[in-house]
Amino acid sequence: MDQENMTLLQRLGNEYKRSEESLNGLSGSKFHEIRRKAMDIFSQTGFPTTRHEEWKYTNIFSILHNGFKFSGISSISKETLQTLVIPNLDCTKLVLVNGVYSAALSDILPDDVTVQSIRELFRIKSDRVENTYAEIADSVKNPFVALNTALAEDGLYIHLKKNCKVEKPIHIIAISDAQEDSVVSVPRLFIDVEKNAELTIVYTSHTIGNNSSWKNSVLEVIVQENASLTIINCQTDTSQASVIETIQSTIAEDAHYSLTTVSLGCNFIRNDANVILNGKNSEAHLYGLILGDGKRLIDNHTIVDHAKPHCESSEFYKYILDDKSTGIFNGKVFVREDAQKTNAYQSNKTILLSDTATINTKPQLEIFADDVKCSHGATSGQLDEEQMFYLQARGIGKERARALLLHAFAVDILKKIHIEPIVEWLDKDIAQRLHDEGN
Amino acid sequence: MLRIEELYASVEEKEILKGINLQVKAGEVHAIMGPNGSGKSTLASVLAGRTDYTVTSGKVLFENKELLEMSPEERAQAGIFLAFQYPVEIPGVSTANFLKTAMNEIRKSKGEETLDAMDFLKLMKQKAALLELDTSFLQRSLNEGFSGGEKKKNEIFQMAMLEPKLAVLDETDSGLDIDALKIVANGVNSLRNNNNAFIVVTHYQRLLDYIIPDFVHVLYKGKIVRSGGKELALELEERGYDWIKEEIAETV
Repeated sequence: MDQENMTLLQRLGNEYKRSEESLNGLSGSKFHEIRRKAMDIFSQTGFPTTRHEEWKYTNIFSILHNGFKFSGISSISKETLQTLVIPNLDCTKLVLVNGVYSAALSDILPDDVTVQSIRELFRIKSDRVENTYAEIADSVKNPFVALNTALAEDGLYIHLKKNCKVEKPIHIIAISDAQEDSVVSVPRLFIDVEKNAELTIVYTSHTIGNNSSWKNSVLEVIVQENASLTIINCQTDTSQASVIETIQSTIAEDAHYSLTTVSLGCNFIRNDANVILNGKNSEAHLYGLILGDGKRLIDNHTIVDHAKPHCESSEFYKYILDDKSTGIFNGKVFVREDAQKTNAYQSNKTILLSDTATINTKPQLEIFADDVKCSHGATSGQLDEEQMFYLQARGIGKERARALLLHAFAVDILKKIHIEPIVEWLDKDIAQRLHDEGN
Repeated sequence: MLRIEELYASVEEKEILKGINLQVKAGEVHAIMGPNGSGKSTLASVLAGRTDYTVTSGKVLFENKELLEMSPEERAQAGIFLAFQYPVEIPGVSTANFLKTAMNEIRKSKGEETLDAMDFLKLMKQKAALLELDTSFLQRSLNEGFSGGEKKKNEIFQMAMLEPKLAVLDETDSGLDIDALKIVANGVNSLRNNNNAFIVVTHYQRLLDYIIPDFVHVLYKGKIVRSGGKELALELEERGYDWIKEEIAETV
């Protein structure tokens, strides 16, 4: 059968087989076993249809086509990379091109951080990786985690030693190179922050070139006792890009975790941000800012699982939707029987700028403990007419007034990002998208 | 400067203004008084271009231009300023940034150069000093969490910054203590000159102790039923509105 006549599913299977053969010397290893299991799971479940509760409003088949090229190992120039970096951001860059780490484009790491090849760690039988890789991100629960686990030939294990505070953020630049062909990539990261350590990760997703891209990322995250991890996740790909991203985190006692996702680009985004608060007195904060226009679809699914007592979580997602764009927010909060004195807060606010934009929002709280504080709220509406009139009555034209108010709506989320150059970079991008170039 | 002729306006099919005639010249201060529900705020809103009101007939000329055909922003750019009765809160937009945008949009509309950040800051400090205002509010979100008095003072500050030709103060005095009232009055008096004009809409005479009007008009049931000098306000203070209502009833 030639390429043309195969279904995408068959091609994924073939891709898996090709990749297996290339993993010389690892055939009997745990890595191989994990991949095989994941492929089995994916083969059985296939792509989720809209009959699947978690995919009710998100039709994955709208982005799947047969023209994708797999694992195109590609090299991009330093000049091209330069166009993607965040101006004035003092950081350590790690560059992934089509999911593959590029040493040539990446910076040298600070002393306390190590970044290693996951495949290599399996080869030398690292206990840590063998015992935890693909355990946190569960293939059974999410077919795209299964697909990523099955197809990722390698990944990055980012490790921060205990008691170390790394001042400079690590900026992971995940590039899909769609200059020659449509491209699929499966970036895989494993972030392990040890006791009392502190780290900020900036993860930005980009597509270069005019062909379509499909990036299926999985980030597995462990934050150990009293450690702190901040992830700033920016999705600024071209409008030919589709991003499916799972960030699965487990947070230990007294630890702090925050994830801010800003979605400005792509034609299709599905994010699964799942957190288990797995030690008492731990904290997790999930923030999201979404701009949608055209026919774009942006879906955020979150699960915050309070497994232990005295933990705090907050979620705050804001959408601005125009034209025929669609937003989905599905926020699950579990409070387990043990998790007394839980404090959980969730909010989703949306501004709809057109009659044809849609938001589907579903908060879902399942509480099994009795001494807890949980609240959630969702609002959607148009721009406030009184505010518009006030601005206009001061001489500010409609377009500019609209942009000012939308920016004011978005700024709450941007304020959660405490790194000024990132805020400036996003601000500029947002202003352009809102047609507000300032004065 | 402003000429209102036989102005009729309604809201949700209810007629509120029933034939207003008013002429305001440069250098003048007009007070519009009247009992609650007489149409005072409607008149202010119609002049500023609020869309909740439908003008059913009549004409408003501002410097010989048809005001009613202009959008709210065009009116502001032409030099009309409404001090809101209930200024809105806009979280996420600082007063300074808002005013800089407003000022530069107005300048751009006239083909003037925009102000840079330094010049703007200087001007803000100067105007704040003139009104004896503490400048800390400039960096706060516009009116967010402000007291009623702070919001009104902010309106007057904006007026001082934008230097309109015609300022319409819509019950700016309501809910103000005597100190805030003095700041508001002081603002108006210090801006008052031969080239601009003020329409002060108020329910009480109190503000007019500090802002001395050239003319006082009484609005009742959508019409100006009495006009006079500043002594009319004093008479209203003394006798209330009932005698006017009775006189109207007799003539009908």
